Amino acid sequence: MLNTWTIIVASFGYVGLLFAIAYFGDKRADEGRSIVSNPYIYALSMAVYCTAWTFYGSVGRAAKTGVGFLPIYLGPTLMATLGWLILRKIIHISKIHRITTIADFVSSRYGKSATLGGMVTIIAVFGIVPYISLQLKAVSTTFHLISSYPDVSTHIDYSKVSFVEDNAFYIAWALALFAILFGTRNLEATERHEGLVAAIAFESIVKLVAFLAVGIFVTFGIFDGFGDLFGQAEVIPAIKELFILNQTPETYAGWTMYIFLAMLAFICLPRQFQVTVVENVDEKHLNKAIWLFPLYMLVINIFVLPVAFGGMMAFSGGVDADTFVLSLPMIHGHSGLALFVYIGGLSAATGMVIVETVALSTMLSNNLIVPVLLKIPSGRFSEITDLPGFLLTIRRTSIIAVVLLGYLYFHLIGEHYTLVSIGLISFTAVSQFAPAIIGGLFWKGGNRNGALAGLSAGFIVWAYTLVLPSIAQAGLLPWSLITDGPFGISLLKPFELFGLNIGMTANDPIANAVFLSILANVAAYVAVSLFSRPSAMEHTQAALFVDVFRFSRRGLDSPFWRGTASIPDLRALLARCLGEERADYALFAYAQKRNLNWDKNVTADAGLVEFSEKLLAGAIGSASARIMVSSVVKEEPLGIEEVMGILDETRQVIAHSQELEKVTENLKAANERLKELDSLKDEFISTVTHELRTPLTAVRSIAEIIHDSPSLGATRRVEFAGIIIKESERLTRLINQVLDFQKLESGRMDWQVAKVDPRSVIHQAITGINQLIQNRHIRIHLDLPDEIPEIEGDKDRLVQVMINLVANAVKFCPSESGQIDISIILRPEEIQINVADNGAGITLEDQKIIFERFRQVAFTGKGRPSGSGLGLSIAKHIIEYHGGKIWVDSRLGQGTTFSFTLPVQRRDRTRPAATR
Amino acid sequence: MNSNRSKNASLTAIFFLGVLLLTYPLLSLFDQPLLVFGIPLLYLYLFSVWTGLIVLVIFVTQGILRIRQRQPPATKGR
Repeated sequence: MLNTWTIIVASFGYVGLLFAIAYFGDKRADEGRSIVSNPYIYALSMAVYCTAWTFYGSVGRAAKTGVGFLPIYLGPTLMATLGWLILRKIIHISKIHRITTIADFVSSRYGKSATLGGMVTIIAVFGIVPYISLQLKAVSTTFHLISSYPDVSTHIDYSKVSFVEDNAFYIAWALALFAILFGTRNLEATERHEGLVAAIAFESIVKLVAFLAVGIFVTFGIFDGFGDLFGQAEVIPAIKELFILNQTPETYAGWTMYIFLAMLAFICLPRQFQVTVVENVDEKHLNKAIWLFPLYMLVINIFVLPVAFGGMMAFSGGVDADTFVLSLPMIHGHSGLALFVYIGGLSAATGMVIVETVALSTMLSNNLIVPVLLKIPSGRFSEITDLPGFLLTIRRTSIIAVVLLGYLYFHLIGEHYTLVSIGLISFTAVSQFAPAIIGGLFWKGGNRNGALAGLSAGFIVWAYTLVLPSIAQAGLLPWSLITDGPFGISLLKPFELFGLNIGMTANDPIANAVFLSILANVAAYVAVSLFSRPSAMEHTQAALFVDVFRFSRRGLDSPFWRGTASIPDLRALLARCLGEERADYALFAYAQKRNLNWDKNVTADAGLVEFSEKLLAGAIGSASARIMVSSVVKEEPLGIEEVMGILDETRQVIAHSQELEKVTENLKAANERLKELDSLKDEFISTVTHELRTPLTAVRSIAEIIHDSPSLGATRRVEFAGIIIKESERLTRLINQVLDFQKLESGRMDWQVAKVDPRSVIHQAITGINQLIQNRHIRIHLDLPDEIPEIEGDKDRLVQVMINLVANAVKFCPSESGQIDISIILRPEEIQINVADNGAGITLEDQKIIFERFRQVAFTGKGRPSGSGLGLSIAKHIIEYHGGKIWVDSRLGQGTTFSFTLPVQRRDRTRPAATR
Repeated sequence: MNSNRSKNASLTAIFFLGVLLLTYPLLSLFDQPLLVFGIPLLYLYLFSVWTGLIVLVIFVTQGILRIRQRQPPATKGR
């Protein structure tokens, strides 16, 4: 029913369909109506992660290890949850710096090092070519299998199969053509390849539907649902063993290692970088992709174990488990399903090969070939006239080379390995990029030497533990090297290096290799980074990468560049590398955006140079772009101190914001204080009105008496009039105080400054309140020196202060036994006047607030004091205006001494801050 | 920015939860040769955890579940 031609036509029909979809996708992109700009297509394109290895190999692995196939998908699920943290940062950086491959990312991060970029490229090629060959092998194997329909004997001796008979050979060419047509349309690799992405997303749907179809067929067609299938499987001891892991520490350690490996591979695989980072349309698409992609993997894996167990029960060992997916429909005579499954496997393989070769070819040209050509001193590179065409040719040749290398590899070596183990060896190789990438994203201290050391260490361990055995297996090295170790040293056996032996199964070399290589890698990366000095360029790039969100928020394009270049030179350079048209267009767009006029300006500013360099980086890689741009730019390279200085500025911005926070806090405190003052003012108003009312009431009631009693005797009248006068005086005094205070507060007080004799101030004050003193029988003792220097001041105000202090003292002295001592102490710069009483004293707390506005001290045993609470505050204002100080000394029961000083020679006539 | 930080915190928490549930020693508790609902226990457990993680990520990214959600109701979402 299935003849070879049907299969061939179906295969190439399918590939033709891919061409059509890609063509359509590109056409829509050119029209500006993108079909890939949504998170669903984005997540589906990420599913290029699931290759032929997933499609066929997972079942093969499940048949050996049970759930052991799952870590490869659990790892990316876990990594995807960190996607918002890690992937988004990588995408953001790559967009700003126009980074197009993982090699360029590493190179750019570590000071645009060409060496590092080249090294990553070489490791990637070593790691990925076998992986590509694995896909082609799957295509070839399944083609031969399905060609022999309905016979399912699978053993193929590839040494007897010539290229001409193998359809994988033609498929490889078709894929190379596809990658060239849709992967290298433009020189600038930063340009997205929408057609390619559309085709990849379509392939993801095909492989998912095909696998689900076979899963449903096995579970519900051959068996009667999951329960029936697992029930029958449970009876067979060999299968029941697979229900669990081995339950040994080694197994669990191996399991964890595989999850770890897949996590790293997910961000390090060149094809994942291509679809996740380069082809990303909008960072926001990650929001959905980080759960859609895991969901895709979950769905495609549901039927793996049922298919594996179904196959084991159906074939009992005669058939390679890697082909169960295809051979199960075959033996049941479902030719249509078998063909569909074959196409599904083809889609899984082709998707991977297309994206991977595009990514690898960009790497090879931008990070290996161009830098090497630039380094050749003879200057042959500069003689090439059509540089864009030349670069595209390099990339296209690389694609063909990579695909053919993959094909050759599987014919020569690959047949010894199962699908999964080749894939895992590749995973381990690319995982070596992880320390440099993740470290580079979050740790500014990681530098170029560290990254070089880490990569080398990891690569060496990888080669020793995984590649060496595969060479031995192919018969190129003695097998004893593996079984006994080199020179018979068993501690150095590649599969059990240093005696370590973890893994999901016995003789599982991968988990060991992952652990040891990543350990060596991280250790070397960290240690060398700590002990070596980075260059200024490395510092710059480290800061730009690690703090990418901060810099992009501040809108700094090129904080680290200084120098001059002429615009015609830059234009010529761009035109040479990108073509006249593109260069002019890019410069025009730049000028438009910034309102620049090229005619007036011939010197390029830092921004333009940076822009040109990034533009070139997209086409030839960041390391080469650096070299090219520096050839036309008169640069003053920044020293390390300057770079650190610029970084400090950034730090200062943070410091400023912290200062702002502090100021805000101060303002808050001030606000609290104002509120407090406000409530004090309320209290003050109620006090003052109360004080005003008391004399007013007295005046009024006495006036009423006089008014109502015409018969009042003359002596009584005089007495009553006296009270009225006294109370009115009290009223006037109070009002004057309030007015004074208001004037002092607002700074509108009129000061009559003249020469003043302090003694006359004291005498005048005592005379002023003599009546009060006499009434309470208080003795006043004056201790005044004979010779006193005159001071400058407002006499009336100073008298006011004196009256206030003496009146206070009188108020709180006991009658009869009360005594007030007034003394003057002379000092060279100032005089000090003390007013001491033998009254009740003031508590320490009250002393602190006594000079504050509106504060009244409740003196012991006296209840609420009379007065506005302004007297002392006014006194303080007046003394401070004169440049002196006022304070109080007191102890409860031992009297109180108020003292103030006045400078003898006033130097500063300005009032102390009016706000106080 | 605030929402990014909170989202990152939530997602990182989910990551560690996932690591915890998917590795030794918790994994070993379910590593038993039993059939539950006719499905091997370990298989069922792994897919349940997997589904759970995806659901949690959906909740967080769609804004249903957030650590310390502090957006005042009056302001529009940024």
